[in-house]
Order: sequence, then structure tokens, then C-alpha cells
Amino acid sequence: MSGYTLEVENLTVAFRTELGEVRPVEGLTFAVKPGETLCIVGESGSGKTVAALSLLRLLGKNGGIRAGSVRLNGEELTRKSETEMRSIRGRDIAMIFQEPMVSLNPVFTIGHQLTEAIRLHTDRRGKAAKAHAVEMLRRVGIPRPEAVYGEYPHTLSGGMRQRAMIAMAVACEPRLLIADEPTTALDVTVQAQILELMKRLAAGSGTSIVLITHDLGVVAEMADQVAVMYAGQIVETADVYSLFENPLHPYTRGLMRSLPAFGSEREGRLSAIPGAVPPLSRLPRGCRFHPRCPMAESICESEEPELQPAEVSRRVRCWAASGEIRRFAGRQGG
Amino acid sequence: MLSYIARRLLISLPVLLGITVINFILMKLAPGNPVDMLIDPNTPPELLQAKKAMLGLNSPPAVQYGKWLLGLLHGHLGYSFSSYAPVADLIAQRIGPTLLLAFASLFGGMLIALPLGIAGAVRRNTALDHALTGLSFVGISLPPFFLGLGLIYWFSLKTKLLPTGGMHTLGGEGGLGDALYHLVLPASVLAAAIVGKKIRYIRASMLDVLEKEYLRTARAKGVRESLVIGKHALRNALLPILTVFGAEIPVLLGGSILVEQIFQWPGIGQLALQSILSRDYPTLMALNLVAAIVVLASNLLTDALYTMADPRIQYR
Repeated sequence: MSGYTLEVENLTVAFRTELGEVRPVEGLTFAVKPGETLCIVGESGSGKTVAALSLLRLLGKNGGIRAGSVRLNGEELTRKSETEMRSIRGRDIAMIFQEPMVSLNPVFTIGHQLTEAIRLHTDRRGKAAKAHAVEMLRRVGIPRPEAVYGEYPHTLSGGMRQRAMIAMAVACEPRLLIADEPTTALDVTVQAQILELMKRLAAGSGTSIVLITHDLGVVAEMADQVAVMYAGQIVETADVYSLFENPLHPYTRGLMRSLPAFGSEREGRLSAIPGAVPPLSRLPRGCRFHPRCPMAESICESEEPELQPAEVSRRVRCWAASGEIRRFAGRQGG
Repeated sequence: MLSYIARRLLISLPVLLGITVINFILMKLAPGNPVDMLIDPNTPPELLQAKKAMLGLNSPPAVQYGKWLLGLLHGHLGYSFSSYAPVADLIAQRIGPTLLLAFASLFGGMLIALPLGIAGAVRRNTALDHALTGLSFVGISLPPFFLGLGLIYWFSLKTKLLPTGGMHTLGGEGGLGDALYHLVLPASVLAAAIVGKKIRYIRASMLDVLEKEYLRTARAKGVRESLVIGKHALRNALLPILTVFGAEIPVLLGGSILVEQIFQWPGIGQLALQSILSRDYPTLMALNLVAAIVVLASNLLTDALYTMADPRIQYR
């Protein structure tokens, strides 16, 4: 055994479009240990959601995994048949989505949607399935779980719906929980509760979490490991402390500088990274970040940097950061 | 819900009354009158006058309408001007076959259109989808009289598989089986138009739903694709289809006038055509009343079905 719940190696996802093939995710590599939380951070359009869906192989008719491997507890998922994948979805890997308002089916009761997963993946039927569903609703902190079991999604608030989604996702005790911006659509006060809930559930069962977010506050709250994505590639991976302490990639630094901070000496306007993530059909040559990068040099325009090891168990995809690392190491030594 | 239905029924009464007034005026505005239609043109005018007086056609229109309404309140629909039979009996004899024809084509049509519409949406922009679109245009565009005659030519004259018309074999035993055997062709003609229209509608409704996030949730749960489509998507796609389902019932009654004529189907449509041609006022008034009730009832039925199908909608 490798000791990892999830290992993703060099994962590339391709979609057929009218303009030809595009690759929203390219060369993705990361790993998650049991009980660990990995946060994937990036702007809109950086390929975070596609990366998450590709782990479940839910890319639709026009998309697919082009290269690389996804292993769950050492088992290769990319070569599984659709039927095998179906029994993995919801049982071994579960997913929570961004919009609880539209991610539950409006014409079925909460209870029906919960027991559907339970009946699919466990031996529980009838009363036993219902009892388990009610227990799950109780565990995610929904008041009056028996009553909510029989209600339709539209009668619940956004926070309650997201709790119901979480109950549905963890009902079969998955080894991996993928959460795609689970708190983005919720009130700030509810966000903290939902994050707390996910943390508590995962800690209790040793479930690993892959949490996708654009919110560095959520990252600080939840992550053990962090992967920063830009334009379909991971540009930096690190444990959460090192990342906040010393971001290596200019993009990560830009993200940090665009955050307001309490009690910091920095005053005045927040800085923003100029420009936007380039569309997949018009990726720049060389480093994908160089048109927006304050440190770009001539090599950045022509040569694409690799994701290279840096420090202890960190990786960064940047020409400038490589020099930076040397300077950093020099300072440490001297 | 019950109080809502009761309220709707109460509101329907003045609407029905208004409809009968308009019908009466339209009927009176139409050229000709029952007596002219009935009697040999060489009859002496005095006789015509006597006949008109007998039928009550000489009193002012308002009085005629008042008398009809008074009769209605007492449960009398009057007597036919042409056959002198009670109008209520005429309609009672005819309504059964028409309902059989209408509902057979409605449900048969929906049963065919539903899977085809879903297939078109799921395999959109494929050869299958384009073929279904073509088929639906054929269904919409073919006039019923042409399709009816075509079917009679092929299935009755050429292959002798099915009868040309009527509801029972002449001199035969009758019975339900015989009626169904006679039903196939006229119901097919009516259903063709329904299938044509509904394929497009179901496809569009399904396409709307196929992009919804909750289907992704279902897939992420491990639900098999056939159930993602046939259960999670279809239940939602059916909601807008229900509305047109109810609206289709009055259209069917209208369409049956033509089809019943072609296939000699002994229903309301035939009766309506005969009474229009003979300006049979009492029968026409009663038929219009029935049609108005059917329209209002189908609307109410649609709303009731909607609350049952969509938990988000509730009437108070």
C-alpha cells in the first residue's frame, strides 16, 4: 500500500469543442493521505471544478481523461469500466457541489434523495435505510430530522440544503470527499458552520477531503496541503503553513496580496492581479502566467517551466522562483 | 386544495354564462335559419311562418335566449329542430364514442411522443434527432383529411387490415374489441398531430432539464444513467408538459369533427357538423355549452395535476 487515499499523477483532461480540443486540466499531480484535507485554490476558469469532476470521471459526453492516472487506495480508476465507476461514485468517493439551491432535485423529498444513495451502496432497505438517513440528517446538525426527511428541498434554507447534501455525501462513509466550493453560495456565518461540520465528520471517519475553493480564508481554515492552480496547471503545492508563511510562486503571492488582513501593517488599497485567466483556446507560449507576472523575464515567454521540487516536500512551477529558492536557501545558510 | 377547486368552480359559472350569450349571438348572426334549411324551397310562405312560430323563432332574440336559459336552469336542453329528439339524449348517445376517440389518441400519442422526445433530447444534434425533427414536422403538417384518406386507402382498400369507418361491424356482435378495431385508424390520425407537436415540446423541455446541477448530483451518487434520465430528469421535464397535456383536450374535440366525418365515427363531431348545417339552434347551444365545460374542466384538471406533480406549487 502506498499510504495515500488518493494519488493523482500527471492527469490531463480534454474536451472536444467546436474550436477543436481544449485541455482545461493538464499534468495535474497531487496526493492525499487518509484523514488529510487538500485544498485546490485558483481563480474562476483555472480548471478546479473540471479537475474535481475528472476524479469521479463525470466529464460528460465531450470530455475525458486524456492521460495520467488517478489511484484510490492504490486502485487505478482511469481504466475502470463505467459500471465499476458507478459503484465507486457515492460509495468510495462522494461529492458536494457549490450551489445547494440547485443541486438537490426539486421534485423528490430530502429523504428520498438520501435513501437513494443508501439503497444503491449498502444492504439497508426500507426502514433500515430510513433510520440511517434520519441519523445522517441528525449528525449534520439538521433540527427535526424526522420531519425534514419528508420535506422537499425548497422548504429548506441554503445552509440546511448544504447540510443535507453533506449528509447524502457521507451517508455511505466514503474514503474521499470532494467538495467543490461548498460554502461559496452561503452566508458568511453559515460558511463557518459548514466547514466546521465537514472537518468534524472527516476527523471522525478518517475520510480524506479534496476541497476546491477560491477563498484563501477557507484554505487557512481547512487545509493540510494546498495546491494552487492556474490555467489548468498546478503552479505550486505546499503544506498550508509554508504556503502562507512563504508563498513561492508570483501568482500565489498575488492571491495573498489581494486579501485584506486584520492587524497587518499594510494599509490602503488592496492589490489585484492585473488581467484575467487566459481562455483555453489562447494560452500564451512559455509560462502560462507570464503576461500577468510582475517578475516575468525573457525565458518565461519562450520556455514552459516544470513543476519542480523546492524546499522540503514543496513544488513550484516558476523560472523566477527557482532563483528565488536559491537566494532563500542562501539567506538561511548565512 | 379543495376550497381552491370549489372557488374555481364558482368562478366558472359566470364564465360559462358569458360563453352561452356569445354563442347565441354568433348563431343568430349566421345567415339562414332552421326552417329554411329544413323545408322544400317551394313551400308557401304562410306555412314557413307557421313553422317559425311553432319553433318560437318569431319572438325577439333576447326572449329566445331567456327561454333557453330558463330551460337549462330546470335541466332541460330542449329538443332538436331537425330530429325533434331531446338534445340531452342526442349528446348522451354521442359523447361516449368521442371521449373514447379523444382519450385513445391523447394517451396513445403521448406514449409514442414521450420516448421519442426524450431520445431526441438525449441524442441531440445526431442523425436520430434530425430524423425525429423531420418526423414531427410531417406529423404537424399532414392535414387530417389527407392522412385519413391515405390510411383508408392503404390499410382498408389495399391490405384490408382495418375497417374504413364506423364504430361497429354492421350486423356484427359489437362489443369493446370490435370498437377498438374500428378505433385504430381514426385515433392514429388524431394521434399523428399530437405526436408531431409533442415530440418537439418534450425534447425542448427535456433539454432544459438535462443541464441541471441536480442530475450531476444524482450521477455523483452512483445512480445509473437510465435512471438519471428516466427518473431524475423526466420527473422535472414532465412539469411543463402537463400544462400542454390539459390544453390538448379541447383541441382534440375540435379535431374530432373532421376525423369523425372521414371515418363515420358516431360522435359529437358528426352531430355538431349536422346541426351547424341545419341551423339546429338547441343542439348547437347545448354542444357549445358542453365544449365550454370541457375547456374549463381541462384547465382545472391541469392546475390540479400540476400541484400533485410539483411540490413547489400550492394553491390556497
